[in-house]
This record gives sequence, C-alpha cells and structure tokens, in this order.
Amino acid sequence: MVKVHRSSSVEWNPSPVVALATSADGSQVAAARGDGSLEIWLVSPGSVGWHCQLTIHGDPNSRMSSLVWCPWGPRGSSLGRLISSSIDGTVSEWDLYDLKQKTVLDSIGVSVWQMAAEPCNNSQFNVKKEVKVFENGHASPRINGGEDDENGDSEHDSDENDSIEIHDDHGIEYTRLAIACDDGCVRIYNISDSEKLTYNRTLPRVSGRTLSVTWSPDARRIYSGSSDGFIRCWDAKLAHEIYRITVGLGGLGSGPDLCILSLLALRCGTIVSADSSGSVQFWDSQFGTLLQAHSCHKGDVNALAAAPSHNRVFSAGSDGQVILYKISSDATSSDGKFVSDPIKKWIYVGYVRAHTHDVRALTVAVPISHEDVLLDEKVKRIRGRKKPLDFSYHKWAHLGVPMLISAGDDTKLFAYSAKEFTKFSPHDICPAPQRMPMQLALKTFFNQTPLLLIQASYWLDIYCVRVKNDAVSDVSPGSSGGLASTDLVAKIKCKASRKIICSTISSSGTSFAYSDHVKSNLFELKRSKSGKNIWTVKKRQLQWELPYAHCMAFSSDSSRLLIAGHDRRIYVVDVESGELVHAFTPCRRDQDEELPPGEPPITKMFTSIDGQWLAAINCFGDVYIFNLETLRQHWFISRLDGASVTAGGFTPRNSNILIISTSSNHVYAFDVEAKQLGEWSMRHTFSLPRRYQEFPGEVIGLSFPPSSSSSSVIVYSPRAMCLIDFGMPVDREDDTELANGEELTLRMLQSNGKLKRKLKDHELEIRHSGRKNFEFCAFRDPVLFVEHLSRNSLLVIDKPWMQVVKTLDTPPVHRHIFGT
Amino acid sequence: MITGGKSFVSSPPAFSNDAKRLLVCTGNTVSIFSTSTGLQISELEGHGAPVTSVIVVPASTPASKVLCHCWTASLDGKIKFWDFTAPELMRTIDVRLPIHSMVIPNLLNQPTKSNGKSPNLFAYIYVEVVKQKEGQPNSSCGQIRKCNLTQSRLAGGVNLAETHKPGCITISPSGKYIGICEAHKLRIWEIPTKDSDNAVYKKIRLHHTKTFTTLAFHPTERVVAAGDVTGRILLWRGVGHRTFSTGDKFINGGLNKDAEERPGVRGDDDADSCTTWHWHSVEVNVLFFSSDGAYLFSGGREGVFVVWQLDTGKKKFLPRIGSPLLYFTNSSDPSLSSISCANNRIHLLRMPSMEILRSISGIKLPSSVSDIYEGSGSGVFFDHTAGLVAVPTDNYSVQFYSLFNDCEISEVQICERNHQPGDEATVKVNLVALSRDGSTMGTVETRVPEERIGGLASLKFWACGSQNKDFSLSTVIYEPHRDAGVSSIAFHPTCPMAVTSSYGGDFKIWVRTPDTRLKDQMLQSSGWRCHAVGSYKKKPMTAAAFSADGSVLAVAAENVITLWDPEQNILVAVVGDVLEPITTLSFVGKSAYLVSASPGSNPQLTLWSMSKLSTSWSYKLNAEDVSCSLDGSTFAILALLPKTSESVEPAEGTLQGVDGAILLFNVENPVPLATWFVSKAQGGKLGFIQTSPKLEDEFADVKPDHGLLAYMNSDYEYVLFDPYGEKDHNQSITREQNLSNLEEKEKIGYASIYGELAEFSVEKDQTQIPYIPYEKNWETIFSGPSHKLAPLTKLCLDFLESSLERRSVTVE
Repeated sequence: MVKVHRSSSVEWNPSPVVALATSADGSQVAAARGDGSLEIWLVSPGSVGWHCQLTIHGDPNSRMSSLVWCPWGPRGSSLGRLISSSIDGTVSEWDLYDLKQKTVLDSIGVSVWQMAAEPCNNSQFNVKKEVKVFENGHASPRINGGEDDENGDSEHDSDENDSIEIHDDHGIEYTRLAIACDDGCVRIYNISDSEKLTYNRTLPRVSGRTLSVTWSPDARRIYSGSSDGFIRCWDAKLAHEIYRITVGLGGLGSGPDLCILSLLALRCGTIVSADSSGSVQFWDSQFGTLLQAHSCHKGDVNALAAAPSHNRVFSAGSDGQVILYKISSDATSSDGKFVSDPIKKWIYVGYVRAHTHDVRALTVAVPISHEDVLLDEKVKRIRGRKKPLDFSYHKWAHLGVPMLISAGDDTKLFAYSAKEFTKFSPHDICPAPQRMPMQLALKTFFNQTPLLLIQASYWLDIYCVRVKNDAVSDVSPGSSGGLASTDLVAKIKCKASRKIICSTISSSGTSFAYSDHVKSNLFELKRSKSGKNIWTVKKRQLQWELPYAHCMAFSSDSSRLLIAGHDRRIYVVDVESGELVHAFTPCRRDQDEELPPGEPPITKMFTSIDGQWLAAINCFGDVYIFNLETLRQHWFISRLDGASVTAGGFTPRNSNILIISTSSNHVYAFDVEAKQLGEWSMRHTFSLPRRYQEFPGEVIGLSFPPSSSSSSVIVYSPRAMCLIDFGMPVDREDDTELANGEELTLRMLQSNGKLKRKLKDHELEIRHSGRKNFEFCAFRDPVLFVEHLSRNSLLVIDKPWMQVVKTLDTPPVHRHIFGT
Repeated sequence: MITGGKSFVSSPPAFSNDAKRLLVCTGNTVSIFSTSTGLQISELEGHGAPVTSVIVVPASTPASKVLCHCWTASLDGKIKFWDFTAPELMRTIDVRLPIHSMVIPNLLNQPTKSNGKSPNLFAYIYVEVVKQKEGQPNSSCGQIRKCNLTQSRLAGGVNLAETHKPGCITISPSGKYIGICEAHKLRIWEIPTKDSDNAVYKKIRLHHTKTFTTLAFHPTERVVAAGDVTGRILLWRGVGHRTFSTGDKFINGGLNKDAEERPGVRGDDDADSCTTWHWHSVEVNVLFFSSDGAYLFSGGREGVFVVWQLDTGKKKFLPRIGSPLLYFTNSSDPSLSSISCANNRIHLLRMPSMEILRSISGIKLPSSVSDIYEGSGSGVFFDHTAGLVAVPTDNYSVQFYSLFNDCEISEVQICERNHQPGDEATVKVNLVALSRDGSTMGTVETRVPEERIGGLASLKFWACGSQNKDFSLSTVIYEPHRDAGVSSIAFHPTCPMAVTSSYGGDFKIWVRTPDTRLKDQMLQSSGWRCHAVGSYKKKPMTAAAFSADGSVLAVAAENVITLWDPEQNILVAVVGDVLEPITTLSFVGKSAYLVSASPGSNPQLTLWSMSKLSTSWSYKLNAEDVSCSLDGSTFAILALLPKTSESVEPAEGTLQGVDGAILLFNVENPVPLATWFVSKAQGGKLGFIQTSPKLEDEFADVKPDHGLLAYMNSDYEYVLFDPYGEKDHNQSITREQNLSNLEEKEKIGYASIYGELAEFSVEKDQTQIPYIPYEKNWETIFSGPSHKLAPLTKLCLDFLESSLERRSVTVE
C-alpha cells in the first residue's frame, strides 16, 4: 500500500477566460484568459483526448476583447492565423510556432470591442455557394439533414485545398477583418501575408460605441451593433448603411442604454442579436424585421454561437446559463402534404447551467483531428465486444459531431453536445485550469529533504516538504490522507510584466532556472553554514547570454541545464562553468541536422537517470531523442496516432525505457537504445483496459517510484490517478467483470463530481479486492501534482475548488434558491 | 325541501354559446348561472349520481346560436341530452358504467354534411369498469370507451385504453385529438375526421420522469403542454410528425434520419422538441391555450394564475386568488372565461386584463388539513333566526351562507393573516357562536404550535354592524383559559352574556360592559370582560349551555352535568353520571329538559329532567350532533349508525352510502317521532331554522314555531326540510325569486360602450323651478365634455323642441 501525503496550501489563482475561437478545421480551440495568456486546446471526440496543447503567455497588461482564428495564415500553415484584439486598441497575432504574441496593428487609439473575419468561403465559392443556400433555405423541403451534409462537405473542401490554391488564384484578395471600435466606427483591415494588417476602409462613424460586428455569410454585408441599441447593416463594398434596426424597445431616454453585445448572421438569412437586457432576438436580414424575441437570460447575454448546420443557436450570458434555440418549422397544415413555404420559428428549447460564474464566450468545434482513423478502429473494436460500455460522453461525443464549448469567469471550459444539448450533461474539459507547473527534487543534499518548486505567473516558490509520519494513513487519497507540511524556503520574484514561461530545479536542489520572455536565468540555492535555516539564492552569471526558453530541464546529475530555446534549438549548458556545451537542432531525419531549425516548438523534455538520454517532445507529440554523451540526435519518433504527448519520463529501473502517455490515453514504452517500441508496449498498448482509456480527465503527469526495482508508474489527472505496473499482466478479464461498476463510477465522475463520495467507496472496494494492475483512485479535489516521495509514499498537492472560487475576482452568479 | 351547498368545482363547468350562461355541475344536478349577475337561473335535474361532464353543443352557424343544447354524463352511467333554456330533458342514453369524463370530438370538428344525412355522433367516455380477477377482490379500473350517441349504444369492442383509475380526458380545441395523463406518460389519440364504429386510431405516447397532472392541446399547431406534480410545464412541439402525418411519408423521411436532433425529447417519443418551463412550485392543475394559440394559461396549487407568452416565455400573473386552481374554461366571448378554485368558487375573468368580474361561490369546502388540531368540532353554527349558517374557512375567516338562497352572504376575516393556499395552516378557527338575536358573534381560534412553541388560543367577540352580517371586532381575549383549549362557547339567550368552557377545568362567564367614560376622559368602548370563573373538581369542562330563559347554566364537567346560576355564579346542582365525557349539551326549547350526548366507546344520549334532576330516558346512541327547537319540546339528533349494521343495510338497495340517521324526539316520548337516513353523517351538523316570513306563505301548513330542520353533512351539502311534514313530502320550495332574469335587455350601440345614459329630461326641471328659458338654450344642451354628450338623436329632439317653444315665452 502506498502512503499518501496531502498538501492543500498552495496558492492557485486561475484566470478567467475572456474569449474563445475555433480553428478553421475545428480541431483546435483557442482560449484567451484574463491574464493575457492563451491556451490552445485540442478538441477531442472523447473525454480522454482533451489536451491543452500550448500555452502562450502574452502581455499581461492588455486585456483581450476578442479572438479570431483566420482560416489560413502565412507560409501555408494549416494552423491559420490567430488574431486577438485588446481593449487598449491593439491587434495582435499569436505565433503558434514561436509561442509569442506579436502586435500586428498598433493601437488605433480607441478600444476594440470585437473583431470578425470575412467568412472563409467567400469569393472563390461565392457563386456556387449562394445557389446552394438558396435551395436549402427556401426551396428545399428537407429540413436539416440534407443541408447539414452539403454544407459540411463544402466546408471540408475549403479546408483541404486550404491556403495554397487560394493564394495562387486570388493572390490579391485577402481576408478582411472588421473591427468594432469604441468610437462608433467599424474599421476594415486586410489580413495580408505581411506581418502587419493593412488598412482597407472605415465605415461611417455612428453614435455610441460599436460593440459587436459580424459578416453576412456571403461577405457582402456587415452587421454592427452599438451601445445605443441599434443594429446597422452595411454594404461591405460600398460602405454605406443599408438599414438600421432599433433593438431598444420604445427608445425611451429614461432607461440605461441597450448594448448589443453579440451578433450572428445565419445562412438562412436570419440575424441573431444578443443584448444587455437579457434578450436574444432573431431578425430577418432582408428587411430588418423582428422574427422572434426571447428574454430567457437574467443578465447580459455575452455570446452567441450557431451549430454548423445553422439550425440551432446557443446563447450564454452573465447568469451562467447556456440556452439553446432551435428553428421549428411549423407544420400547420398538418395533412402531411408538401408544404412549400413552412413558417419557421425560433423556439426556446432548454438551458444548461454548468458555470458558476458569467459565461464570456462560446464557440462550436468539430472534432476532426488526426485521430480519425485510429479512433474509428477503436470504436469498431468496441462494437465487436459483447457488452459495449454505456458511457454517456461517448454517446454524443463522436467524430464529426459538432460540440459547443463555453468558458467564462469561473476559469473553466465546458463541452456540450450541440445536437443533443439537453440530453447530456456537459463535460468539464479542464478540471484544473491554469495548473501551476511543479517539480519535486528528491534527496537534495540538504539533509535529503525533498524540495518542491512551484512556478506561479510572476514568481517561483521553493518549499521544503516535511512529512508528518504520525499522521500518515494508508487510505486512498481522500480526506483521510496524511498531511504534508510545506515550508517556504525561497521566493524568487521576477520583473513585473515578465511572466515566467518555464522553470526547473535540479535533482540535487542546488540549482534552479527559469525563463521569461526575455532570457533564461540560472540560480544557485545554498544553505549558509553560519545560521540555521538560512537559505540564500544567488543568481549565476552566465558567460553566454541564454535565449529565452519554452522548456527547461536539468540532467539527472544536475551538472547540465538543457534549454529548449525559442529559436527551436536545444542548448546544453554546463551548470558549473555556465558555458554552452552544445546546441542541438531537432530534426526529423539525421541528415537534416545542418539545416536551419524548422520543427515545432519543444514543450516537454525528460532526461534519463543515467544521464545518457534526453527526450524532447514538441507540441504536436513528436519525440526527439538525443544522446547527451555523444551529443547527437539519436532517434525521431513521429507523433503517435497523431495524438499529443501529455506526460512522459524515463523509468528509474532501466534508463533506456521511455514511458509516454498520449492525449488519446495510450501508454507507450519505448526502448530508446534499440529505437523500437518496448516489449510491454508491443504487447499491450493497443489492448489497454477500457477503463484506462476512459481515464477521467487529461493525464497531466507520470510519477515513478524512486527505486530501481520498481516497475510501476503512477499516471494522474486532476481527478484520478492510476497505477500501472509493467511487471504485471494486463488482465482484460477483470475489465469485463468490472465493466458495470466502472461505467457507474465514470459516469459519476462526469456528473460534475457530485457523487464522488460514492465513487470513493467504490474505489475502496476495488482496492480491497486485491492489488490489480490499472488500479484507479479518484480524487475529491482537483489535484495539481502527484509525485513519489519514496517508494511507498506519495505527495499529492491539491486544492478544494471552492477555495479557488473564492479567490476569483468576480463573485459567482447569485442564484435565488426557491424557498429561501 | 331545499337542498344546497353543493360543490361547484367537482367538474369543469361549461359556457353556453352566447357566453351568458354558465353550466356548473353541482352534485346530481347541473346548475345554470347567469354570467352577468352571477346568480343561479335554473337547474337541470334528472341524474341519480354526481354529474361529471357537461358539454354544450357548439353553434356551427349563426342561426344555431340560439340553440341551447347540452350533453351531460354522470356517475350513474347515463348520458343525457338537454335543452337547457326550457330546461327540458330530450334524450337519455344508459351505458351502465360510471362515467368519469366524456368528450365529444365530432361536435368540434363538424364534418361537412355530404349527403344530407348527418353522420353518427360519437362520444369518448372514461368509465370505471369493475374487473373480476381470480384470486383478487373485484378491482376497478378505468377504460376509455366509445359511445355512439346517435344510435344510443356503446361502440362495440372499442376500448382505447385501460388504466388503473379513471381520470379526465382532454380534447384538443379542434376536436382532432384526445389525450389522457397516465402516471409518467401522456397518451394521445387522433380522432379520424370521419368517425365510425370501427375507426382506426393513430396514437402516440410522450414520456416524462415525473407524474403528469394535466395536459392541453394547442388550438392550431401540433403543440402539447403538460404539467407535472413538481410544477414543471413541458411543451412539446411537432408532436406526432411521424405518426399523424397521413401523406407521403417519404417527404418527411429526413426527419427519421437525424433522430438525435430532437432536443429534450425523451426516448423515441414522436415530437420535435420539448421545452421545460418551471415557475410553479407545486403541481400544475390548470393548463389551457388561448384560442389564438399565442398564450398558455397555467395555474396550480399556489393559487396564482399565470399567462405565458408562448413565443417568448414571458409571464403575466394574476396572484392572490387565494385557493388552488382546478379548472379553466373559456367561452365563445373571447373576453370572458372562468376559473374554478378549490374553495368552491368560480371566478369569471375578463380575459386580456385578467380581472375578476364576479364570483360564484358556494360554501367553502372543509379543509383537508382540519384534522391537524384535535379536540374541536367542525365549528359550523346555524343562525336560527336569519336562516344562515356560519362556516369557518381555510383562509381564517367565517363565511355566512344563506340556507334559503343557497348563496354567500358575507365573509368575516377572523385573523389578520394572509392565507397562502400551498402553506400549511397555522391558525384555525375552531368555534363560532352567535347570540340569539344575531348581534354578537364569538369566535375561538387556535394558533397551531410550531415545534411545540407558540400555540395560542384567543377568544374574540364581534359586534354586528348591520343586517349584512358585517361584524366588527369588539374584544380580543388571548388565552381565555390560559394554555388550555376552549371546548365550547355559548351565548345567553337574552342578555349580553357568554360562557366558554375549557378542557383546563374551568369555565368563564363573560359579560359586555356598556360604554363608560373613565375619570381621565378616555372613552372606553363597550367590551367584554370576565364576569365569573367556575370549576368543578378540576374536571375538564367539555360543554356548556344556557337554558331558554337564561336562568340556568349547564356545564358538562366530563361525566357529570353541573348546573349554575350564571348571575351569582353559584353551583345549583350536579346531576348524572355517564360513562363517557359529554360533548354536547342542550336545553330542549322551553321545556324543563336537558339533552346530553357523549360519544365514544360507550356512547350515550340522555334526556335529563330538570325538575327531577334525574335521567328521563337514555339511548345507547352515538349522537354526532343535537339540535333543539327553540320554543317547542322537540329535538333532533344526528346519530351515526354503528359499523356492524352496514352488512345488513345494503339489503335495502336504496340505502347505499348511508351512515347516519336523523331522529326527531319529543321530550315526553322516547320513541322517535320521525327518522331520516342520511349519508356522510360523520362530522355533520343539525340545526332548527326559523322560517322567514316570506317562506311562511309557502309553508302554510307548518306552524311557524316549529321551524325547519337543516342538516349539513361533512361535505357541507345541506338539506332543509320540514320535520313535521309527511315523510315523502317532497315539496319543492321555489326559491325566493331572486333568480335573475336572463332576458335582460341587450345593450347596443352607444349604451354598450358608454353605459346607460342618465335620464335627460328638460321638462322635469321646468316643472320644478319656474324660469324663463334662455334664448339660446340649445347652447346649454351642447355644453359639457364630449364624452358626456348624449347621442345626436336625443339631442336633436331636445334642440328642436326648445327652438320651437321659444315663442311661448313664459311658463306659469
């Protein structure tokens, strides 16, 4: 039995999400947070695949107002261009290769409230598209299904022949970006190949502030909504106003101004507006007449989103609700005969309240990631089995099925099924948002006391971990686990406005390093001999100016610091002398090493215990193996099933074995020296127990017992941990017999963790039934970090979410509970 | 014989086609009320059991609007067809099964008469069927049957549904669909346009996790709303797209393909989407779509009428109705509809503004929660002289109800407290008593203790202001007997004196003090104060009564009767010893006899002779109530029949449901003068009522000093009869002719908009004051604000008249 020591004393202040954007292919979602950072999430069809692929720290002082992910970017990259606007009037682009924020438009002097990019399939598909839309919207009796498919197809087309062709054919035409400015103007810029945006034109200035802007699907019109309650329709080419809709009812001067906070133009010729009075209204775009008005929100309606088929609209607001509206064709002449022009109505269907705070943003994504093929296989395999698990998330989260993602002030992201919105409860994508990176240095040479390095956004904390032996119990890490006390040893603050990107501490604890946006820094930690408990931190002056890094690691003997620089090289620095030993250039093939570096940024690095191997992993899940002795690249492992790597490490037992956990919840063991998949992996990777593959939450780390005899590893996510023993057989028999129980537990986990206490009992039962491989243990509170202190003791750092909520800036949505 | 006090809200009412009359199911009859006055016009009598459905034949053409025909269905298994203006019974169909609900879809979607011959008319009836099952006692279940009304027979073999319990069938306004709620599902059938005996029905089911209470159909669209016990309203749209579409299925084939695109719909239910609205906190009883389909009306136990705008979900409320809502009925007049409330009231609503025009109210039904507080009677009190009955109600008031007129006289709020229908009652009015002249009322109310803290009894004396029984509070006495409960209250027959007895072992005599001026010039208004306190061996005092002349006060001290001089407060005598505590005590008229009743395991009814201070005679009878005639020497008791006799009783087929008997005695003779068997006697009340002068004409054969005997059963249905008449003397007393004349003049034109004009008479003025008309007196005719101006036809006449008379200069 493993003894568990808990600590909940860390400060954890996640930051609210202010904007969301989906990439052109729908496989990634960008989330902009209030502290200026940006996260790229990999959209997954299942609960397992959600993975925070990248985190980019931007300017913490500028508050982002909106995000736009243009379909194609420079150099034909498939990622497109991610552009954000900020309250201070600047527009920035997020470079997903260099992981930094670049200003593409200097401040225009007024705040930018919203941006909208021209619809991607405009000019080249214009004619074809319009005919289709006409057919579907007006002439076709088929309600939704057919339209779905056709549009889906055409979108696919446009995705595939993406940028290159378009650039060849229409080299002059750029995507236009409409920017809603505080002074009442809508400014249009071209997104060109150059670094900066080029000015196109400005629509006439109107009264009030322009708060929202959107393009019509054919890109001929621009709709803008202002703070004085008007929606204006503009001709995009001629820049004159076509009509104006007065949303503010009555237009009396007595009440406060009505702000149009969000606009949506649907293919069927309907405009949807969301305003500060809590109503969502549907307008006929041709005449500007009101079709339907719903005031279901009890506060500002902040965001709108439409399902890809454009027959459903979602709205979300400051009351924490996400509401679904559906178009309903009214079959009044219910004789079943062909109705040539059915009256269509937008009706309120239902709401889901997953967020405790205001919802700020909504987006719809379609999981078509690189996992398609394999996932299909997986599904097939499961179908072949006798008793497929009835797992609620898998019921709706399928490939190519659109999902809705919402995020807001409670810092969390939730995914919903767009089609069966009311049927299933939403999935909590990130149970531990903005988890602080932590590292534990065991057996430091300060009395062998473990030191814990916690990286906050502007400072590093080093704690000394002391275990109270008497309080230790060997129960599962619920409330009854033993406590571990953490004493602050040192706090290193960096300069304001320079966020810490990455940090590391050596295994001996003598040195640690961090990097911000400017450069990397190396420090020495000493315990002065004179007094007791006096720690000194000394900054090491390096002879060579290190570039700033995306990732850092020390070699196991603490003699070398490895820095994955922003210039895509990996620098090996001698800690003692501070000299640069070598610089690797990761490449796919051996002979490429001389070429300039062109690989995606390295986000994770692991070193082996014997100091021979370095595994560097880029954000897409490619693994580069370097030999630190010969200072050469040893091997390149292409991304495994196209999934990203979520965690990894070299086993202490055999330094040649690299264990990798991917976002599709596969565990691989590589024999690095032999450049092949390890024996265990060959046998078991594709037949892992199903319950492991449905591991609740994204795997965020691995922990090996610090002994050379153990063959097990603990894999953990913010919600649960699991023990995998590579020495024991992977028994698939118990899998089937436990299937029902597991299904139960997992469903309970899905249901927002309300029934976790039950789950724990269940887990305990499993534990008592004997030691098994893939043994699960669920956590009550979101866990940030799990690491072995010794072979039989575990340090778990968690934080009750309620305490985190209290530290948030905004209060939760007040809900009047009936009867109180 | 006058019967009354029936429940108006046992079944939904129906409006006549011109919306001037409202047909209400009242027990075995259907009462017709005028909607303009709220008074009863006539009655349809003929059913032998409570009427459960009344359906007015709608007018399809303007010409047939004058036709006033209706169908009624009753638990006696008969369907009757009436002309309710006459009122005249036209046809009777006997289906021999208790009908709980009936709908006639054909009436609503009148099929076009193709060959001159009108097609058969079918009714769908929800009947109770007793099933014989092996190994089980006869169990009843509900079945939906079809009845051919034209041929007066049940359509053979048609049984649409079988349920555990018969309930209510809901019909869509177009008559195309009928539906029922059955536990967690709704069942909906499509009625074929050309209905025949062996029609095939398309049906669907809609499911939910909670028990449904009501459903409603949208008038034009395929929208179904249903309410459940938790207060949710579910709204399905596109119901039955698959099942009910008769045309080419392949056109809608796309619908089946994307089956998962039906948000909110459970399982494989045939609907496009399902929206849930949740405002009501407890069950929804009323759901109704407005006739244009733009609004949904809902109501429930909390007594708030809610109007939902279907498109936006916005709500409007009509709060403070004060009682759970049961039914909503609309009329052909779009501005008039009715809601039936559980407190036996039907409110007529003016619709868009949702204001209550007037109410038709019966006796407020006894509350279901009245058993919370033990040791108190039902508190009903008969006002002998005025022919009224005072009934304590749920909303902390006392309702005065005229027995002769069968209508509410007034309501007195006893306790300053808002009544919320959903809440548990915290205060209960236990006892009501009126002085003989009706000028004073005494009430005892008890606050129910919460967590055994805060229980409080208070005694209130009220003074009557005028004839209308509007009482004003005179004196409040908190805890008249400390923390003990008050068992009875009685008034002195002549002087302002009252006695209360308590379970705490004492009784108090209260007298009213006249207005006095104290020395500091403060006016002390007349109030009641304690005159004397008496007790007997610390025994609980369970009943009290004054003798007819007020000289003797009898107080029952559990098993004995103590006789006191009320003025001097001297114990005069103690008589008797019965086995059980005496609960009722009454002096028999002006005779020297006292009658006491003590229920319990050894019930006893005893007549005591005051002259001998001994038992005259006694019966082992469980007397529920005793009432004595005021002057004579007779008294009536309401005796509960022993349970054992029930096995014998059903042999007489007519006596089913009988559980009590009214016995009329003369003091001299232990043999009852007359016996009547009654039902629902548990908790019933008896009272002698003096006939009013008007009635005496009709009761010419009755001596006025006897009066009439009123019996009110536990459901507050009452019957008023002459105890000395012949037994089967079914003399129908025509009510006081206050029945409104329905044929009141229709207001047309100007009068319908602005109301009647004030009489505009020039001559009248001329006769009174001699004056010389002003030369241009037509100016005065046209002066004044335009909205007060008389119509031109009227003015013109005056104008011309005045201008013609100008030459005859002087009058007188």
